[in-house]
Parts: sequence; C-alpha cells; structure tokens
Amino acid sequence: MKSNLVKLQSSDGTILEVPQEVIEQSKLVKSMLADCDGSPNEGRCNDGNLLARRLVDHAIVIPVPNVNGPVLARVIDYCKHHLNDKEKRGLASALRAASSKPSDEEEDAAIRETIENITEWDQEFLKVDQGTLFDLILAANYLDIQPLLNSACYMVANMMKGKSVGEIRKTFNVKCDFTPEEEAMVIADNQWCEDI
Amino acid sequence: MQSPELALLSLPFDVLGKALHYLDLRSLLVLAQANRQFNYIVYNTSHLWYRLDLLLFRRSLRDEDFRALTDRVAAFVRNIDLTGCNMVTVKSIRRFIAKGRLEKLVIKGHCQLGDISSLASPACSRGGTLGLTQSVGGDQTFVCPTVRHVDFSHSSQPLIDEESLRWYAERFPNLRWLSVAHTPIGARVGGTLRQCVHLEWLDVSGTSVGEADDVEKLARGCPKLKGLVMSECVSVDDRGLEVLGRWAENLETLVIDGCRRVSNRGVLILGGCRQLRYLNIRNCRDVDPAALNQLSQVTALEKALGPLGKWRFWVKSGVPA
Repeated sequence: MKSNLVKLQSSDGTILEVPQEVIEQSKLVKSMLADCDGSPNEGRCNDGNLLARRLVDHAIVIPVPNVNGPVLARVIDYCKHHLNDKEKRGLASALRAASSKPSDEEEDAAIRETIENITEWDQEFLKVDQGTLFDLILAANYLDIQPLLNSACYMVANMMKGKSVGEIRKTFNVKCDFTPEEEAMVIADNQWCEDI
Repeated sequence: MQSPELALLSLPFDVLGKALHYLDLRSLLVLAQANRQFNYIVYNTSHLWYRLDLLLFRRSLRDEDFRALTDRVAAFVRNIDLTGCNMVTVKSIRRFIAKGRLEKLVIKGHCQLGDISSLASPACSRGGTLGLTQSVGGDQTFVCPTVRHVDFSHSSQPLIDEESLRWYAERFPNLRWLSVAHTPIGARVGGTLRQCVHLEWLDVSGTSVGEADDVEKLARGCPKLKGLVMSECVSVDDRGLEVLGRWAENLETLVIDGCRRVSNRGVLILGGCRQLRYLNIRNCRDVDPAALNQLSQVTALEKALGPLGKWRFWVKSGVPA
C-alpha cells in the first residue's frame, strides 16, 4: 500500500499526484485515507463525506478547496523534502518525554524545538513574498502539517521582531485605526517597553 | 481563490497567536500599538502571557504601567518575575496577585521606594507611601489556591516582613516552595507558615529564624517539608535540630552551614529524620566530621558537606526501615 499515489485537487482544479507516504505528513489527508481504507470501492468515505473518492483505478482524489495549485505544489515539495524527518523527530520527542521536564518549561522546550528543527533548506524554502508565505500558512493549517505551520509562523514572527510601530504598519500594510485619544493612550501605556 | 494580496490579519486568530508566541515581550507590545486588530490579538491571546518576565524592564516599568498591564493580562499570567522592578509598589503587586491565577511569583531584591527615590517618578513615590496592609480592592479575604512557588529572597520591607509573611501565608494555602532568604521576616515564622500545610521547600537563610520552639511549630505545621535551608541562621542550635529530628520525618535536605551554635549532639540527633539525603554543615566548627558517618548509618544520607567544607558521599541500597 505504501507506493499508492494520492491525487490532490487544488482550488483551481489542478490535479497533483503524490505518493501516499509523502502526503501523509498532512494529518488531515492521513485521517481521510484512514477513513477510506475500510470502505468498499464505491466511492464514499465512511462518514458519507464526498471529500475523498476512491476511483475505479484505486487512486484517490482529495479536493483541497482552499489551496491553489502553485501553493499546493510548494507544500508537496516541502513534504517530499521532509519525508524522512519523521523518525528523527519521533526519537527527539521520545527523549523529551523521558526526561520529563517540569510543566512550565514544556512550552519553552516546544518553542526551542521548533526553532532547532528549522533547517537552512526550510529558511530558503520560506524566503517568499508575504502573500505566498501567508498562503503556505493557510495551506499548512488546513492540511494540518504542523512542522510547516510552525516554521512559517516563526518566519512571520521574525518579520515582526525588533521593529518600530511605523515599521510594523509598513511591513504588514496596516493603517492606524485608533482615534487620536486611543492612540495617545496606547502609546503612553507601552512607553516602558521602549526606554529600557 | 484568495485575493492576490492576502494580508497578515486575514489569517485565522489561532494561527496568528502561534506566530506571536515566538515574539519577545517588547516586540509584542510594539505590535499592540500598530492598530486595533493587532492590539486585540496581543491582549486576548492567553498563552502569550503565561510567563511574564519583567526583569528586562525593571528600570522603566513604572507603577502605573504595571497596573495597566495588570488590568489587561493578569488573569492569564501563571509565572511572573518582577525582580528588580522597584518602581512597582507592593500594593500593585498584591493587586496583581488578587486578580491573577498565579502559580509562581518571583520578586527578588525588591526594596522600599524610599531607598531609590532618585529613580522613582513622582507618581511612583505617591504610590509607594500608600498603606501596605490596606485591602486590595476592598477584599481582605481572597485566596490564591494556584500559587505554588514564591521567591522573595533579598527583598525588604514593605514587600516582605513579619506582617506581610502572614498576609501571603493566609492567601497561598497550597504553597509548595518559598524563599524568604535574607529578608526581614523576624525570628518567628513557624506559627505563620503553619497555614501552608503543603510546604515542601523553605529557604530562610540569613534570617534570625531558628529558635527551637519556632522550628517545632514549623516542623509540625508543615509535615511535608522536604527541604529546609537555614544558611547563616545564627539562632539555630542543637535544640532546634532536636525538634527537627523528632518532627520533620519527611526532611530530605537540610542546609545549616554557618550555624555555629550547632554541635555533635545536634547532628547526631538528626538521626530522627530517616529520609535525610543531603546535609550541609559547613563552618559548623564544633561538629566532628565523624558524626556524619554515624548519622549516615541511621538515615538515607548520601551526600554531605562537612564542617571543614569537605564533601562526603555514601552509597545506599535503600532507605533504612
């Protein structure tokens, strides 16, 4: 079953073929496939959902309605590159569980782990314009690919770090919608973080 | 499907929260000033505020800033570190405690505002003179059952003294870990800390705690006590150790370095603490290092720092019956 090809249909109708083990990094697709496995070939998921269909040739088409073709192709590139990460990460998290840190450090550890797991390849991969980065985030969120979501969120955070208010507005193209009184208050409230 | 210029703020709320998790406090607060939506996300994403470490802002965080912050996020904060934030008044700290669901509170080296009046702005010194035993929001009787860990070491009045300790003890019934080392808590803590029956670790180094009857109250009132640190507590003597030997049956760690009134007799009588694993009696000049050997035979003692500053180790197969 490992060599099965899964067909993904993007929002703009493009169909992409991906080996099952590659796309199973998406927890959404994985659980869909698991749902379909037990069902007969007549083309419906166990839950009667039309999302996934088994075709006559036993290939499976999964519509990914809110991700367009180019972004989906990039997501698949990511999954292909990270195909063999799973064992590594499994080992790391097993080690972490064994060391059983106190709970208030767990969160920090999770963050550190994400940052450590971002490779040079990932950084290159995520060096894209804002629109594409946010598209990737939406795709990773929908398909439930946590490592991609975490890395991309980290890139977004990096875009926010160490900037002034004006730079933030410019970077993310947002307008100040505070009333003058509100703005004065917001600035006064946060003054202490500026003059360390 | 998506518009060509997909904007950051059109991402789902929880995804944005994920990204903000990687930000430091300063970047977060800058972001909150960008526009309303960012402001809303920053102040309403609870997990961003679980740990609030204000050490970096200790010189700029004024009392009114802290109060504004309290109003916004106190309900989310689990761990707070206010070390060195001397412009924040004790009244505001207590207000924070009353509003929050704190688990861990660290305020080291907090000193009275009068001591640093040159640093404090007029508004702060006004706050600093407010009565400190005053009620918080008119409610004297609230309790914070979530608080487990409090570190007040090297702080001074009014944050911590005999009276304040009573205030905290009444409000933190589930306290597990407390350090009041080098603080003016006076000589008598046993009666006060009796209210914290779950206390497992207590550091009273450099205080005048240690009189036998007070240690007895402590040991009987806090039966779960596993660690007791009394470095340089000059009041500690053999009678104090005697009551520990009798009552502190769960004690695993005892540090009494520099307690010069302790003698051989006191160390031997600690044999009552069967669980004792680690003992530090450095600079207890009247103790014969050989007494440690005897003690190790009747307790779980694995490691000790002797009177002359020498480490001793014993290999134990199990806790003696």
